Amino acid sequence: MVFNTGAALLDAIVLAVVSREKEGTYGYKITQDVRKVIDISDSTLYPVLRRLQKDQCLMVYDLECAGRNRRYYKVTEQGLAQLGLYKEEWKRYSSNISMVFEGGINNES
Amino acid sequence: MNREQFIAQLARLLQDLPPAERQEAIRYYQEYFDDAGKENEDAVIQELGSPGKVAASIKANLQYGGSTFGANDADMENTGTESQTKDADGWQQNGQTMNRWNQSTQQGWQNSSTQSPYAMQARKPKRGVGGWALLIIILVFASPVLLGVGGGVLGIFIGILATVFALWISFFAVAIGMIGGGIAVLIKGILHAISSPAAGLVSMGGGLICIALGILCAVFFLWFTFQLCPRVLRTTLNFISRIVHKGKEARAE
Repeated sequence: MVFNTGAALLDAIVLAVVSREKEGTYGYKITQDVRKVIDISDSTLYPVLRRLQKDQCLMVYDLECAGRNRRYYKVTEQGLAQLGLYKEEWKRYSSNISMVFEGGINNES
Repeated sequence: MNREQFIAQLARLLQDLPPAERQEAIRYYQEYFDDAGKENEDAVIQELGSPGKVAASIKANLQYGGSTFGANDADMENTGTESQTKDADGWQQNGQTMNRWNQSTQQGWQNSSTQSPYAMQARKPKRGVGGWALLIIILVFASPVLLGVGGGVLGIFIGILATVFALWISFFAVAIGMIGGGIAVLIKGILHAISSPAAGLVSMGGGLICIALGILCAVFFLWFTFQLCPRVLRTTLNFISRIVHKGKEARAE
Protein backbone atom coordinates (compact mmCIF):
# COMPACT_ATOMS: atom_id res chain seq x y z
CA MET A 1 0.00 0.00 0.00
CA VAL A 2 1.60 3.16 -1.19
CA PHE A 3 -0.54 5.93 0.25
CA ASN A 4 -1.37 6.18 3.91
CA THR A 5 -5.01 6.54 4.77
CA GLY A 6 -5.65 9.55 6.91
CA ALA A 7 -8.12 9.60 9.74
CA ALA A 8 -10.75 11.53 7.83
CA LEU A 9 -10.55 9.25 4.82
CA LEU A 10 -10.84 6.23 7.06
CA ASP A 11 -13.89 7.72 8.73
CA ALA A 12 -15.43 8.31 5.34
CA ILE A 13 -14.77 4.76 4.19
CA VAL A 14 -16.20 3.27 7.35
CA LEU A 15 -19.29 5.47 7.12
CA ALA A 16 -19.77 4.49 3.50
CA VAL A 17 -19.40 0.79 4.26
CA VAL A 18 -21.82 0.92 7.19
CA SER A 19 -24.32 3.04 5.30
CA ARG A 20 -24.60 0.34 2.64
CA GLU A 21 -26.53 -1.79 5.12
CA LYS A 22 -29.84 -0.21 5.86
CA GLU A 23 -30.21 -2.00 9.16
CA GLY A 24 -26.59 -1.62 10.13
CA THR A 25 -23.82 -4.14 10.43
CA TYR A 26 -21.45 -5.49 13.04
CA GLY A 27 -17.79 -4.98 13.81
CA TYR A 28 -16.29 -8.04 12.25
CA LYS A 29 -18.19 -7.63 9.02
CA ILE A 30 -17.34 -3.93 8.87
CA THR A 31 -13.69 -4.77 9.22
CA GLN A 32 -13.86 -7.36 6.46
CA ASP A 33 -15.65 -4.97 4.13
CA VAL A 34 -13.27 -2.10 4.80
CA ARG A 35 -10.33 -4.39 4.19
CA LYS A 36 -11.70 -5.14 0.76
CA VAL A 37 -11.26 -1.47 0.04
CA ILE A 38 -8.00 -0.64 1.75
CA ASP A 39 -5.29 -2.69 3.31
CA ILE A 40 -5.50 -1.77 6.94
CA SER A 41 -4.70 -3.40 10.22
CA ASP A 42 -7.62 -4.85 12.12
CA SER A 43 -6.57 -3.07 15.26
CA THR A 44 -7.31 0.32 13.77
CA LEU A 45 -11.02 -0.20 13.17
CA TYR A 46 -12.41 -0.26 16.67
CA PRO A 47 -11.14 3.21 17.61
CA VAL A 48 -12.67 4.59 14.43
CA LEU A 49 -16.03 3.02 15.18
CA ARG A 50 -15.86 4.24 18.74
CA ARG A 51 -15.07 7.75 17.65
CA LEU A 52 -17.80 7.84 15.05
CA GLN A 53 -20.19 6.63 17.68
CA LYS A 54 -19.12 9.39 20.04
CA ASP A 55 -19.47 11.91 17.25
CA GLN A 56 -23.05 10.79 16.78
CA CYS A 57 -22.36 9.59 13.28
CA LEU A 58 -23.05 6.01 14.22
CA MET A 59 -25.53 4.50 16.61
CA VAL A 60 -25.35 1.07 18.19
CA TYR A 61 -27.91 -1.52 19.07
CA ASP A 62 -27.69 -5.07 20.23
CA LEU A 63 -29.28 -8.01 18.54
CA GLU A 64 -29.64 -11.44 19.93
CA CYS A 65 -28.33 -13.85 17.34
CA ALA A 66 -27.81 -17.60 17.74
CA GLY A 67 -27.80 -17.40 21.48
CA ARG A 68 -25.38 -14.56 21.81
CA ASN A 69 -25.57 -10.81 21.69
CA ARG A 70 -24.16 -9.00 18.77
CA ARG A 71 -23.62 -5.26 18.59
CA TYR A 72 -24.69 -3.57 15.40
CA TYR A 73 -23.58 -0.19 14.11
CA LYS A 74 -25.89 1.94 12.03
CA VAL A 75 -25.40 5.31 10.38
CA THR A 76 -27.33 8.24 11.83
CA GLU A 77 -28.72 11.25 10.02
CA GLN A 78 -25.72 13.23 11.09
CA GLY A 79 -23.50 10.43 9.90
CA LEU A 80 -25.13 10.51 6.48
CA ALA A 81 -24.67 14.26 6.30
CA GLN A 82 -21.03 13.89 7.25
CA LEU A 83 -20.61 11.18 4.66
CA GLY A 84 -22.07 13.52 2.07
CA LEU A 85 -19.51 16.15 3.01
CA TYR A 86 -16.73 13.62 2.76
CA LYS A 87 -17.91 12.50 -0.66
CA GLU A 88 -17.99 16.06 -1.96
CA GLU A 89 -14.57 16.75 -0.60
CA TRP A 90 -13.25 13.52 -2.04
CA LYS A 91 -14.52 14.41 -5.50
CA ARG A 92 -12.69 17.70 -5.36
CA TYR A 93 -9.55 16.26 -3.82
CA SER A 94 -9.22 13.26 -6.09
CA SER A 95 -9.97 15.22 -9.23
CA ASN A 96 -7.30 17.74 -8.36
CA ILE A 97 -4.78 14.99 -7.92
CA SER A 98 -5.87 13.25 -11.09
CA MET A 99 -5.51 16.51 -12.95
CA VAL A 100 -2.01 17.07 -11.75
CA PHE A 101 -1.06 13.49 -12.57
CA GLU A 102 -2.44 13.84 -16.06
CA GLY A 103 -0.55 17.04 -16.60
CA GLY A 104 -3.47 19.43 -16.44
CA ILE A 105 -3.26 22.81 -14.80
CA ASN A 106 -5.01 23.22 -11.49
CA ASN A 107 -7.39 26.16 -11.89
CA GLU A 108 -7.57 26.80 -8.21
CA SER A 109 -5.03 29.33 -7.09
CA MET B 1 -1.21 -17.07 22.31
CA ASN B 2 -4.86 -17.95 22.21
CA ARG B 3 -7.96 -15.82 22.30
CA GLU B 4 -8.41 -15.89 26.06
CA GLN B 5 -4.83 -14.86 26.65
CA PHE B 6 -5.11 -12.10 24.08
CA ILE B 7 -8.25 -10.65 25.60
CA ALA B 8 -6.89 -11.03 29.13
CA GLN B 9 -3.71 -9.20 28.21
CA LEU B 10 -5.69 -6.50 26.44
CA ALA B 11 -7.87 -6.05 29.49
CA ARG B 12 -4.79 -5.69 31.65
CA LEU B 13 -3.34 -3.07 29.34
CA LEU B 14 -6.56 -1.09 29.34
CA GLN B 15 -6.77 -0.92 33.09
CA ASP B 16 -6.13 2.78 33.20
CA LEU B 17 -9.16 3.51 31.09
CA PRO B 18 -12.51 4.34 32.64
CA PRO B 19 -14.34 1.07 33.29
CA ALA B 20 -17.06 1.86 30.75
CA GLU B 21 -14.55 2.39 27.96
CA ARG B 22 -12.61 -0.68 28.86
CA GLN B 23 -15.73 -2.81 28.91
CA GLU B 24 -16.80 -1.49 25.55
CA ALA B 25 -13.46 -2.30 24.01
CA ILE B 26 -13.21 -5.77 25.53
CA ARG B 27 -16.75 -6.54 24.50
CA TYR B 28 -16.04 -5.43 20.95
CA TYR B 29 -13.06 -7.71 20.62
CA GLN B 30 -14.79 -10.65 22.26
CA GLU B 31 -17.60 -10.34 19.76
CA TYR B 32 -15.02 -9.90 17.05
CA PHE B 33 -13.43 -13.24 17.89
CA ASP B 34 -16.88 -14.81 18.12
CA ASP B 35 -17.86 -13.58 14.69
CA ALA B 36 -14.59 -14.65 13.17
CA GLY B 37 -15.17 -18.13 14.40
CA LYS B 38 -12.88 -20.54 16.17
CA GLU B 39 -11.26 -21.59 12.93
CA ASN B 40 -10.05 -18.03 12.31
CA GLU B 41 -8.82 -17.41 15.82
CA ASP B 42 -5.14 -17.54 14.96
CA ALA B 43 -5.60 -15.46 11.84
CA VAL B 44 -7.40 -12.81 13.83
CA ILE B 45 -4.68 -12.70 16.46
CA GLN B 46 -2.11 -12.29 13.74
CA GLU B 47 -4.09 -9.54 12.05
CA LEU B 48 -4.61 -7.65 15.26
CA GLY B 49 -0.91 -7.78 15.88
CA SER B 50 -0.53 -7.82 19.61
CA PRO B 51 -2.59 -6.83 22.63
CA GLY B 52 -0.16 -3.97 23.09
CA LYS B 53 -0.78 -2.66 19.62
CA VAL B 54 -4.53 -2.83 20.02
CA ALA B 55 -4.39 -1.18 23.44
CA ALA B 56 -2.19 1.59 22.14
CA SER B 57 -4.47 2.37 19.22
CA ILE B 58 -7.49 2.43 21.51
CA LYS B 59 -5.82 4.79 23.93
CA ALA B 60 -4.36 6.97 21.23
CA ASN B 61 -7.74 7.66 19.74
CA LEU B 62 -9.70 8.10 22.88
CA GLN B 63 -9.21 11.75 23.69
CA TYR B 64 -8.80 13.29 20.32
CA GLY B 65 -10.38 12.43 17.05
CA GLY B 66 -7.31 12.89 15.01
CA SER B 67 -4.76 10.34 14.13
CA THR B 68 -3.31 9.09 10.98
CA PHE B 69 -3.50 5.44 10.25
CA GLY B 70 -0.63 4.03 8.33
CA ALA B 71 -1.74 1.25 6.08
CA ASN B 72 1.45 -0.50 6.97
CA ASP B 73 1.54 -0.71 10.71
CA ALA B 74 4.57 -2.93 10.69
CA ASP B 75 6.50 -0.51 12.81
CA MET B 76 3.97 -1.05 15.56
CA GLU B 77 4.26 -4.79 15.41
CA ASN B 78 6.62 -5.55 18.21
CA THR B 79 6.56 -2.45 20.28
CA GLY B 80 3.91 -3.41 22.79
CA THR B 81 2.50 -0.36 24.46
CA GLU B 82 5.03 1.91 22.89
CA SER B 83 4.01 3.76 19.83
CA GLN B 84 5.90 6.12 17.66
CA THR B 85 4.04 9.33 17.81
CA LYS B 86 4.71 12.82 16.75
CA ASP B 87 2.81 15.82 17.86
CA ALA B 88 0.39 17.25 15.39
CA ASP B 89 -1.93 20.19 15.61
CA GLY B 90 -4.92 19.77 17.83
CA TRP B 91 -7.94 18.23 16.18
CA GLN B 92 -11.43 18.91 17.34
CA GLN B 93 -13.33 15.79 17.97
CA ASN B 94 -16.46 16.95 16.22
CA GLY B 95 -14.68 16.88 12.95
CA GLN B 96 -13.36 19.84 11.15
CA THR B 97 -13.33 17.86 7.99
CA MET B 98 -11.25 20.31 6.00
CA ASN B 99 -8.47 20.21 8.53
CA ARG B 100 -8.50 16.44 8.55
CA TRP B 101 -8.21 16.25 4.81
CA ASN B 102 -5.22 18.52 4.71
CA GLN B 103 -3.40 16.79 7.47
CA SER B 104 -4.32 13.24 6.70
CA THR B 105 -1.57 12.76 4.18
CA GLN B 106 1.11 12.66 6.76
CA GLN B 107 2.77 9.35 7.30
CA GLY B 108 2.99 7.05 10.22
CA TRP B 109 1.24 7.26 13.53
CA GLN B 110 0.48 10.76 14.63
CA ASN B 111 -0.87 11.40 18.00
CA SER B 112 -2.25 14.86 18.57
CA SER B 113 -3.34 14.04 22.06
CA THR B 114 -0.80 15.95 24.05
CA GLN B 115 -3.64 16.33 26.49
CA SER B 116 -4.54 12.67 26.50
CA PRO B 117 -3.60 11.05 29.77
CA TYR B 118 -3.95 7.63 28.23
CA ALA B 119 -1.69 8.27 25.34
CA MET B 120 1.05 9.62 27.56
CA GLN B 121 2.46 6.23 28.30
CA ALA B 122 2.39 5.39 24.65
CA ARG B 123 4.48 8.37 23.65
CA LYS B 124 8.20 8.41 23.25
CA PRO B 125 9.91 11.46 24.61
CA LYS B 126 10.83 14.11 22.10
CA ARG B 127 14.04 13.44 20.34
CA GLY B 128 16.02 16.28 21.89
CA VAL B 129 15.20 15.53 25.51
CA GLY B 130 15.57 11.79 25.08
CA GLY B 131 18.86 12.19 23.33
CA TRP B 132 20.29 14.36 26.06
CA ALA B 133 19.12 12.06 28.85
CA LEU B 134 20.71 9.10 27.13
CA LEU B 135 23.93 11.04 26.66
CA ILE B 136 24.09 11.93 30.34
CA ILE B 137 23.51 8.33 31.38
CA ILE B 138 26.24 7.13 29.05
CA LEU B 139 28.63 9.76 30.39
CA VAL B 140 27.96 8.75 33.98
CA PHE B 141 28.60 5.11 33.30
CA ALA B 142 31.62 5.70 31.17
CA SER B 143 33.09 8.32 33.49
CA PRO B 144 35.92 6.17 34.95
CA VAL B 145 37.22 5.31 31.50
CA LEU B 146 36.50 8.77 30.20
CA LEU B 147 38.32 10.43 33.07
CA GLY B 148 41.36 8.22 32.64
CA VAL B 149 41.57 8.57 28.89
CA GLY B 150 40.44 12.17 29.03
CA GLY B 151 43.07 12.97 31.61
CA GLY B 152 45.72 11.47 29.40
CA VAL B 153 44.54 13.35 26.34
CA LEU B 154 44.31 16.54 28.32
CA GLY B 155 47.86 15.98 29.60
CA ILE B 156 49.20 15.54 26.09
CA PHE B 157 47.34 18.61 24.95
CA ILE B 158 48.74 20.71 27.78
CA GLY B 159 52.20 19.34 27.08
CA ILE B 160 51.99 20.44 23.49
CA LEU B 161 50.73 23.84 24.49
CA ALA B 162 53.53 24.20 27.02
CA THR B 163 56.12 23.28 24.43
CA VAL B 164 54.77 25.79 21.98
CA PHE B 165 54.70 28.41 24.69
CA ALA B 166 58.28 27.64 25.69
CA LEU B 167 59.42 27.93 22.11
CA TRP B 168 57.62 31.21 21.77
CA ILE B 169 59.21 32.61 24.89
CA SER B 170 62.61 31.31 23.90
CA PHE B 171 62.40 32.97 20.51
CA PHE B 172 61.80 36.21 22.31
CA ALA B 173 64.69 35.59 24.68
CA VAL B 174 67.03 34.45 21.94
CA ALA B 175 66.13 37.45 19.85
CA ILE B 176 66.91 39.86 22.62
CA GLY B 177 70.01 37.95 23.61
CA MET B 178 71.36 37.75 20.11
CA ILE B 179 70.70 41.39 19.34
CA GLY B 180 72.09 42.54 22.64
CA GLY B 181 75.08 40.26 22.49
CA GLY B 182 75.63 41.07 18.88
CA ILE B 183 75.71 44.78 19.60
CA ALA B 184 78.09 44.18 22.45
CA VAL B 185 80.45 42.13 20.30
CA LEU B 186 80.16 44.68 17.54
CA ILE B 187 81.18 47.49 19.82
CA LYS B 188 83.95 45.38 21.25
CA GLY B 189 85.08 44.62 17.74
CA ILE B 190 85.12 48.29 16.77
CA LEU B 191 87.20 49.07 19.81
CA HIS B 192 89.47 46.15 19.06
CA ALA B 193 89.89 47.18 15.48
CA ILE B 194 91.84 50.17 16.64
CA SER B 195 94.51 47.93 18.14
CA SER B 196 94.30 44.88 15.93
CA PRO B 197 92.23 45.34 12.77
CA ALA B 198 91.97 41.64 11.87
CA ALA B 199 90.71 40.53 15.25
CA GLY B 200 88.53 43.56 15.39
CA LEU B 201 86.98 42.82 12.01
CA VAL B 202 86.34 39.24 13.11
CA SER B 203 84.61 40.50 16.19
CA MET B 204 82.61 43.04 14.22
CA GLY B 205 81.62 40.39 11.73
CA GLY B 206 80.61 38.01 14.47
CA GLY B 207 78.70 40.74 16.19
CA LEU B 208 76.82 41.67 13.02
CA ILE B 209 75.94 38.04 12.42
CA CYS B 210 74.59 37.80 15.93
CA ILE B 211 72.55 40.91 15.42
CA ALA B 212 71.20 39.53 12.18
CA LEU B 213 70.25 36.27 13.77
CA GLY B 214 68.67 38.15 16.62
CA ILE B 215 66.61 40.25 14.24
CA LEU B 216 65.57 37.11 12.47
CA CYS B 217 64.40 35.61 15.73
CA ALA B 218 62.62 38.81 16.58
CA VAL B 219 60.80 38.85 13.27
CA PHE B 220 59.83 35.22 13.70
CA PHE B 221 58.60 35.98 17.19
CA LEU B 222 56.51 38.87 15.99
CA TRP B 223 55.05 36.85 13.13
CA PHE B 224 54.23 34.08 15.55
CA THR B 225 52.48 36.43 17.96
CA PHE B 226 50.55 38.58 15.56
CA GLN B 227 49.88 36.32 12.61
CA LEU B 228 50.05 32.64 13.50
CA CYS B 229 48.26 32.71 16.83
CA PRO B 230 45.27 34.81 15.75
CA ARG B 231 44.76 32.63 12.70
CA VAL B 232 45.01 29.44 14.70
CA LEU B 233 42.60 30.81 17.29
CA ARG B 234 40.13 31.91 14.63
CA THR B 235 40.21 28.53 12.88
CA THR B 236 39.67 26.71 16.16
CA LEU B 237 36.78 28.96 17.14
CA ASN B 238 35.16 28.53 13.72
CA PHE B 239 35.50 24.80 14.02
CA ILE B 240 33.92 24.77 17.47
CA SER B 241 31.08 27.08 16.48
CA ARG B 242 30.36 24.96 13.42
CA ILE B 243 30.05 21.88 15.59
CA VAL B 244 27.79 23.72 18.00
CA HIS B 245 25.63 25.00 15.16
CA LYS B 246 25.31 21.58 13.60
CA GLY B 247 24.20 20.27 16.95
CA LYS B 248 21.67 23.06 17.25
CA GLU B 249 20.30 22.36 13.79
CA ALA B 250 19.92 18.68 14.57
CA ARG B 251 18.12 19.44 17.78
CA ALA B 252 15.90 22.06 16.27
CA GLU B 253 14.33 19.81 13.69
